[in-house]
Amino acid sequence: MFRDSKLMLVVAVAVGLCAPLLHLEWFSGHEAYMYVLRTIEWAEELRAGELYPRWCPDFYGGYGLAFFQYHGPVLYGTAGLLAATFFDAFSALKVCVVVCSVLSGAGVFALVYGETRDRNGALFGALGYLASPYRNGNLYARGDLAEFCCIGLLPVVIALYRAAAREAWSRRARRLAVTAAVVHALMIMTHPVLGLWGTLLVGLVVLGSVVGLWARGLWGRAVPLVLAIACAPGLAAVYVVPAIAYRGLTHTKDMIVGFYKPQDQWIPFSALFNEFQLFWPNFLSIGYLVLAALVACALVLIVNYREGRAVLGWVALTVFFVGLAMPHMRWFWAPNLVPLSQFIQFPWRLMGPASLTSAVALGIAFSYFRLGDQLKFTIAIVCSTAFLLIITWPFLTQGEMLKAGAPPDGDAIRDGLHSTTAADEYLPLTVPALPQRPRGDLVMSSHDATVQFTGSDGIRHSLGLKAERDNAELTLGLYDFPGWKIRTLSGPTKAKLTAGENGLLKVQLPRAGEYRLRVKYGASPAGILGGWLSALSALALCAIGVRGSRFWPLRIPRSVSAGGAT
Amino acid sequence: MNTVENEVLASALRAIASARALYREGQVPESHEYLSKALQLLVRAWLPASESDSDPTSASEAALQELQKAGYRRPERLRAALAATRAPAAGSASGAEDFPRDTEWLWAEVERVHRFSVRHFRPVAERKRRRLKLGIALGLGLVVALVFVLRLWGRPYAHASASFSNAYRPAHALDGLEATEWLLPETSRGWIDIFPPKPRTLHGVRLLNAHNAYNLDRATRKVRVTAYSETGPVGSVEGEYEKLTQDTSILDLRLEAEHVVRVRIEVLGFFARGGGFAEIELH
Repeated sequence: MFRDSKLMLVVAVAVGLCAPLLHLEWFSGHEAYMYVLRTIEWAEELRAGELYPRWCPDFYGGYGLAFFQYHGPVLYGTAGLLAATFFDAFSALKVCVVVCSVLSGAGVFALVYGETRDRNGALFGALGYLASPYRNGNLYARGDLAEFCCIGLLPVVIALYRAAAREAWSRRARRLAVTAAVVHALMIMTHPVLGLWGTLLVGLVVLGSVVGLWARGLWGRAVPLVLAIACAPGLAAVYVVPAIAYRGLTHTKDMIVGFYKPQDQWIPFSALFNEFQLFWPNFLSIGYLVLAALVACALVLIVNYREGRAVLGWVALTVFFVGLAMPHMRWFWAPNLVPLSQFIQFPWRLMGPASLTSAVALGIAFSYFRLGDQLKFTIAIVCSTAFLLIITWPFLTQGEMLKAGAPPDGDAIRDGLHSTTAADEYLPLTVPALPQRPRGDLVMSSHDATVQFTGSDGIRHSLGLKAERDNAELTLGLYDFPGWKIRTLSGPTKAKLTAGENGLLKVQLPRAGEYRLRVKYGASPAGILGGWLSALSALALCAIGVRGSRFWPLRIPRSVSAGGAT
Repeated sequence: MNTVENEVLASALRAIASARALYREGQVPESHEYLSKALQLLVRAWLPASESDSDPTSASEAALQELQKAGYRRPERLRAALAATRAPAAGSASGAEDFPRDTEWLWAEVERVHRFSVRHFRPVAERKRRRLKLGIALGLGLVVALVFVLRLWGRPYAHASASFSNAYRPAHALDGLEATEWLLPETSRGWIDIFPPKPRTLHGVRLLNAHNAYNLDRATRKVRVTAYSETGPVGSVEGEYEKLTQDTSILDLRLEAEHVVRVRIEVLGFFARGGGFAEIELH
């Protein structure tokens, strides 16, 4: 499949749709420079030796923000690595976007090809997904790169799980299932909201596969698949657990009120086809893709019902996701009805999974048309080109933002009061008000203590202090949050770190004398717990992977071994 | 590999391809039949030429011995698999209703013997080519990983108290280019911290002064360099430039210190409108 000319065409289109990234320094999406600043923060911490930074030390003028406790780390981790080594943050993010664009096209191609073994159908489905207004709007109009990457990984995850379910070789099937679980975990850690809803879609698809396997008596194949999908959220626990555990410490409640209230973010049916008052270009206009899928589905059911009925499940999923964003489903998004559902903020985000399911339905239906290969190929190319030109073109003509408008490094970010959030939702609750100016010195005030020297390197701070009396205290210009630790390198006794006034950190020096201290933001208790859960899930996945190999061979049934085998 | 082995192996591979295609279509009992057939063929490929006319049971034993000689582990599992695949063949039916449910182990065995046989019967030249490709891929992977690690953690980095603008950021004092400079804001003093990749012994610091390109309006006059270990300052030295010049202006300062994790260079005075550095080198 990988040397297939049609797959190459899909890759070329996926890269081609990112062409504006080549000539624009940056594009004027809703998120503006936010992803760039976050990537710079990650890159600087990575260079300083932090493999998984959770704290952005330069946000809020140097007071810092536990931003990466809440935001999925995969995109920042990848772009941050590139930005810390060979690229600037802009180029690093562009590279990630191109890779995810290619993955989304290749993922749909593999998924449809796996279902039908028809390359023309796979080509049509993949081009349909690449042309989806929501996918392109996520990038160029919204600038939500994490969501763009997440729905790029979604088809890859489904294709891998489905390939595992269809594979006769048991060892290969297990390895595919393990790979699917790992990519699934990455998807969850790319964009938690779409990761959650994507997991629902993945779960439904895997459930269908498992039921099929079980019905044929292949429970030995069904169980690893179920275990693999269960391990995926476990693998993501290193990120998910602290994000959920510390939700109550910040203003995350503000994320689901006012403009962000999901019940008020439904879209009229006409927005699926026409212009929409809120957004231009209207990235919600996936109606033409859905309509094409429905028509193709109806046609294939007439001409080839026996094979074509495979498309019904995908159509049902499309209707389900599109329906959830419609006004009549307002009740579904009522507070406390479905746990965590409120955090979707905009139910129209489900147009991402809906685009995918409709593109897959389109590809599968097209595969089962009783037409010649050449004719199918021609139809696929003509229709996709028309779709790309008419529907996708407005997204590729976005305005430009200049690199010079963004701070180039952590020091410059600290000079501003950036938080890269619209509602300051991750500001700790203990902080009474937003800071008015950058922090300045690390030590804000001291009581019975003098500062001999200070030094800061991102989330690591070193302090030389002299306590004139017992129980001297200093207030640091750092916001308190679980994860801050203090180490006494030398001194009469151990210094203590506590929560001070206005949500700032306070250092207590119990006895008089000279102290050398190191204050660092490290793993929080929930982060450690999540890390252990991830490690256990990784072990479980390893066990699934080696089952059936020479290290852990499958048991020979007693009836067979009794007949002569040992 | 002789012609007979070649043909038998090719038949086995065809049977396997058919089995996998049938499995994909949900035809599991039929797929199982093909896999059983593939197993028989794969074992037959190992049969020595002298044993080709013997009865099936002794021929299988001879093939198993050949497999064992070639290094095949746990032949008893293969023996059991062969016995299991022969059992339904001895009967009359092999339809879906007779399909044995617990076949996972058997399929795994077919997969194992298939992999082993394909690898074993591969021509020597192809085996060499594969090894070479693998070696090149691994080597390249290692080189790329090493380059990434060195770029990431093998070079110093800088933070500063402030910068004149985004075009004059602290990283420019470490980029190896004299033409790019770190400049402080207008008429202000400040500092730049250099963090070496790991704690090191310091003998001295070389400071190349800024001059703000053709503007010739910014340069450092007086500096203080302080080396810090984990526990605090471990050495300090001061120095002064004589004049603002557009030529390369170097100030070499001797500073002996051990376990240095950070070097702070403070600009205590400047020429014209502000201070800065073109390059900073730790020795």
